[in-house]
Amino acid sequence: MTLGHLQGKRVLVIDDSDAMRSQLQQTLSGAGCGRLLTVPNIRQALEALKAESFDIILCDYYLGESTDGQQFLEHLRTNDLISRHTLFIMITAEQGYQRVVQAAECAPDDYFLKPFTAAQFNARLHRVLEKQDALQAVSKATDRKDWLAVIRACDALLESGDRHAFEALKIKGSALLKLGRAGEAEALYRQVIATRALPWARHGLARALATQGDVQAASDVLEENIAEAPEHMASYELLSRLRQQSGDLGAALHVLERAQAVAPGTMARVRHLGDLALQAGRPEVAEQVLGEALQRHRFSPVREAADYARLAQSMTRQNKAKQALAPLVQAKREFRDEQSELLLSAHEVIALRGAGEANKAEQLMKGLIERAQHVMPGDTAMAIAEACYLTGHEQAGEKMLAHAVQNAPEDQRVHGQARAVLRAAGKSDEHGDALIETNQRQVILLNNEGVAKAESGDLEAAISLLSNAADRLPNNVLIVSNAALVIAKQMLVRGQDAELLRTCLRYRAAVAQQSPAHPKLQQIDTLLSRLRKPAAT
Amino acid sequence: MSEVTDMLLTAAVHGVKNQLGELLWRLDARGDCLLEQRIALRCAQRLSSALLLWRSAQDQLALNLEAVDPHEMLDDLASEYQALFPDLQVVRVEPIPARSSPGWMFVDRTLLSMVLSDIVHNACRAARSRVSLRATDWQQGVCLEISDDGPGYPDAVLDTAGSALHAAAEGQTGLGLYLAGSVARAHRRQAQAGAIELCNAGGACFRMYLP
Repeated sequence: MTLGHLQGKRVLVIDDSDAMRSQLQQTLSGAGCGRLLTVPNIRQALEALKAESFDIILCDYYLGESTDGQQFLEHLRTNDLISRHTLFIMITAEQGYQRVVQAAECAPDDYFLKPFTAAQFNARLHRVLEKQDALQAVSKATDRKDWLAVIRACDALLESGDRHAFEALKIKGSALLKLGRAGEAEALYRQVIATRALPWARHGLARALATQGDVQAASDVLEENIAEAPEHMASYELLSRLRQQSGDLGAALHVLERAQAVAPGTMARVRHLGDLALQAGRPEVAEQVLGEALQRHRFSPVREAADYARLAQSMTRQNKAKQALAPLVQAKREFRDEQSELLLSAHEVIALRGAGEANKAEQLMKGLIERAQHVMPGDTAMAIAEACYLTGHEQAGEKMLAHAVQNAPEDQRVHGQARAVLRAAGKSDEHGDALIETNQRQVILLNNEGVAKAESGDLEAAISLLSNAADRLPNNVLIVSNAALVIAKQMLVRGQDAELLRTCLRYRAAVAQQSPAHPKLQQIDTLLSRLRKPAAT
Repeated sequence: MSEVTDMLLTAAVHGVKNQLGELLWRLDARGDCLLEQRIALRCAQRLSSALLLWRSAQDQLALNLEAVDPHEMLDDLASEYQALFPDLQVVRVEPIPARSSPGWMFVDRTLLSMVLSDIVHNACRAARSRVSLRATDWQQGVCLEISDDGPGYPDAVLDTAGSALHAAAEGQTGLGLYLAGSVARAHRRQAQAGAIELCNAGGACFRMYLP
């Protein structure tokens, strides 16, 4: 069989075996690929992916490293490092590992079981490429996070009776949920289940039910799914989140521990489990799970500085502050960017205080306050706040907490963290509640002021106020969406401006990322669609 | 088996399969070694079967069900084996006119491909000139049929029909049928479980019923 479909395609092969790389290279180079790159490990693959994009990634599952092909794929998908259009094919010698079903978005497009002849390989690849072609419109719309277009493209496939109908149904269900159309998603999943109770359909149904507020029914569906498909990891993860939202942290933790007993978790699940264990007052569980995972992935790019920070936190919570310094020192050697440095330093201050090294802690703290003046993720702000209170820098600590709350005013997790920091600093829960309430109010006042300026026609002042706030509080969707909206209004009045348009689209993308069904998105899009393109000169 | 042993076993299988893969591709490049290619593939199948048997004994045959087009799966199998046995006619044939063509089947694609590859391989070895693959509707599910024009199954194999483990020990055919039976039975729909059936009708005929 010839591989006409490969004409002009860019292909990346990741395999630790020299022989396999050379075999695949030989077969693929004869098939007219536009670009073919073979690398022996994940590190080099990541470098290649930073420099260019590929249509097909062929990755061996067992890479002879601490991180396997599945972990690598998850890293790529969760960090948006590859397009949805990129085919990720897992080559595996053993069918056993794939029994663990990943969340749909982290599943490979296909598995090729070794060994295979060149003809078998070509035939399989041909099938996958056909599917890639059929789903092209869906994948492109998914990359743009344009869920309405995803649904339209899926409907077109379904109406034409395409062979990939079930794939189209799966993607459509997900897109409906992204848009908050949970009732329609529920109907779609029930329709699939009436044909066959596929695990992804039951998982989707549970998501739809939970979105509509029926947490009990959603939990029942998930328990049923786990009983019948015990290796459907996504069901454990969703069930755990539902238990967590209901406030039962112990039950949430227990669900993830059940999943962990079925299969060692991906880093995302380990992070979730670690977080949950810390919140549930079980630091020993967090220490064990994070310690094992970081040991397993010790040379892998799937790790983050925050993993080491959590590990250190789990140790200091058990009065093992001296031990907690070791992972932090190790992580500081590896993660040298500003955000990682701030986070790790904050935890180092906390560990140093716990270890009785007050002078060293104070020294580190001074530099930390100076550097922590700009935007930072919530966890970093919380860690710095805790370090501030421990070292007597109350004012700076309060400022950090204010920033964290204003950045995510409705986030219960942030509220819980803020209360915990204040409690540890000897403050009452009333103090914590007051801090949260004050900052929630402040951010609403700020937003209202911007909106009022816009309504009174002073769009420039509104843009200045809301853009500053949006840049300072990038996770606050209310502020960021209104900033995008007033910019779009301004352009409608004054005409299109390249710089303003870029800013507007950046804000829009931030809102879509955090809240795909946010009602302001449609308003922004309507205004943008009314902008006339500048006449060609 | 401990986690370490499991890891070592996986690494060993990975190594052996890589080497078999390398061998296959080198033989392929020569272009005159089909028999040797078939032997290498057979070795890999035995290895996979042994692992599958072990997982099945550990009760680890959890299925990853997905919607699969039965014709597409049989087409792929037919073309793979046609390339390996060019002197035979390995083809997917249309369903019997009286019975309708199935739409989708809900199966574990990897497991099913694996056990069916083994059955097709055996059929190709036994056939005089032709191996036929066919998918037809069966109750609420699908019947997959693989038949050849060889000497047919020995009586002893027909008697056990892939259900007895001791028969599996008697060679790759027995093991392949035993695993095909296990994988079929693991596919269930409410109270109904999958099954296999063997018969001789102008050659060996293997049927797998999947609810």
